[in-house]
Amino acid sequence: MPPFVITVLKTAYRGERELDSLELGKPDVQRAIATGLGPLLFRAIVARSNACEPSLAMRLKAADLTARVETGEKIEAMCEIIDACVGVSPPLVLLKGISTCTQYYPEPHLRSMADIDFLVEEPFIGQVERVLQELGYSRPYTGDAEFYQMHHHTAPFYHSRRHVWVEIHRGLLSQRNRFARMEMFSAENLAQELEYSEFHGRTVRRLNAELQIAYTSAHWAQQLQRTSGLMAMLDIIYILKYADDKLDWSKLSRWLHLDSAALHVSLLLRYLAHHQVVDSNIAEKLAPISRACTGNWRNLLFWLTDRYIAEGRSFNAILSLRNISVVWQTLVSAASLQEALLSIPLRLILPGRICPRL
Amino acid sequence: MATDSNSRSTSADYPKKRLDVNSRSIDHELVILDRQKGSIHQLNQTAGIVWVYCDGRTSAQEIAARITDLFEVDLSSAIDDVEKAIDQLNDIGLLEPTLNKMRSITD
Repeated sequence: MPPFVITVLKTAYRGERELDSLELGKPDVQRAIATGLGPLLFRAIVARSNACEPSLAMRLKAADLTARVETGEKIEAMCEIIDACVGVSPPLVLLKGISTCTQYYPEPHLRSMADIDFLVEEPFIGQVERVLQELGYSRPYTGDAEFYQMHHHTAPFYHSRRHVWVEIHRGLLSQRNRFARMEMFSAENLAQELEYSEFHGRTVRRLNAELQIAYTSAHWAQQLQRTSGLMAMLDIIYILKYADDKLDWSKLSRWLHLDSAALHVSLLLRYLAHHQVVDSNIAEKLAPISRACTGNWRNLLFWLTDRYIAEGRSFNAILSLRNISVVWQTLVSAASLQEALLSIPLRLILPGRICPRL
Repeated sequence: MATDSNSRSTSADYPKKRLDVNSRSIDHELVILDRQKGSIHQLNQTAGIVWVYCDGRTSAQEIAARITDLFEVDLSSAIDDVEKAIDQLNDIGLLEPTLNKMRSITD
């Protein structure tokens, strides 16, 4: 029996009947809402009057309405920014939620997002930042200037009336991220794999489906991400559902073959296939690259995903957020399970550059 | 109590919506998200129209008059509906607190 939120995710790919045999209780509804999956669960049960107690159904409806207002505000903010950037920079490259929610999701509010992310070519960043300031955005904190010079996005902007955060990216991944060195995320490959698209009638650019899968998966694997980890899963599910027949799997496999680290990028796809959230033949399409990170190595990562991302288990003194993050990051960066198991104790003892993320 | 009733009548005279909430029309109904209180409200059609006109410059009477332009309803019924809607919006904290109400807190 997969964790409850995995069954909720299944409804996105396979339809609402996946929930038929389940009687929803308060903890289930609370968990779905806490993880941003409230709107998806509401969508799945809205036609079934007896799916749960009326008070729980009302809570899900409130989560759904909240998501509609918040997403609507972000979409409106994005439209305003796109309009203001015409003639200032090349069409913006939409990233993450603001891109996927309008391209692959049946309703954009099903994809919860903390902020708006888009990418701008380095020479135009200063001008786009000025546009944001003219639109009423400010920087509540600038943090360490040196940090943001090296980071893949500049210090975030905030619009106090809209309650919207904006991040301007200069690259897909931080230079500190080991996946950033992979060929598929290079500036050259990015330039090749971008496609022109529309966002509410406006011209934008987006990652094509293959790069979107690789980017989402790499982002997911780099850290144990408690809430955004589930949104990454939902992104992949909807991309596979709506773009699978157009996907160039050989291109994706070619990218993944170029770097041993890329093997971990396939982990998310294999996790979803493992729980039959998506068709199991997805894993077969990735078979040529699945020779590593198999057996106990893969099972350990799946177990951590089930426990801490899907079930949302609490941490304790020993299995703390920091320690679990060390284990996760060691497992996804090692060349073999043996190497990981040998280095985990050392990395647990020594202070390192592990950045836990809730 | 007297202060409350005063504040309500002042608020009802020139009601002003809070500007720190987000509102959006969803399926022909106005939905208001109040992050400060962590609540969300789905307004019926009349309350939604009243909310739109709650700008601090339009009186309850004027709002009622506009409602009579939009719907086949007489002025006195419209005034009743607008007052009820303003009371409801006040009760759920979506209108700016009035001067009288602020005084009652500081006194």
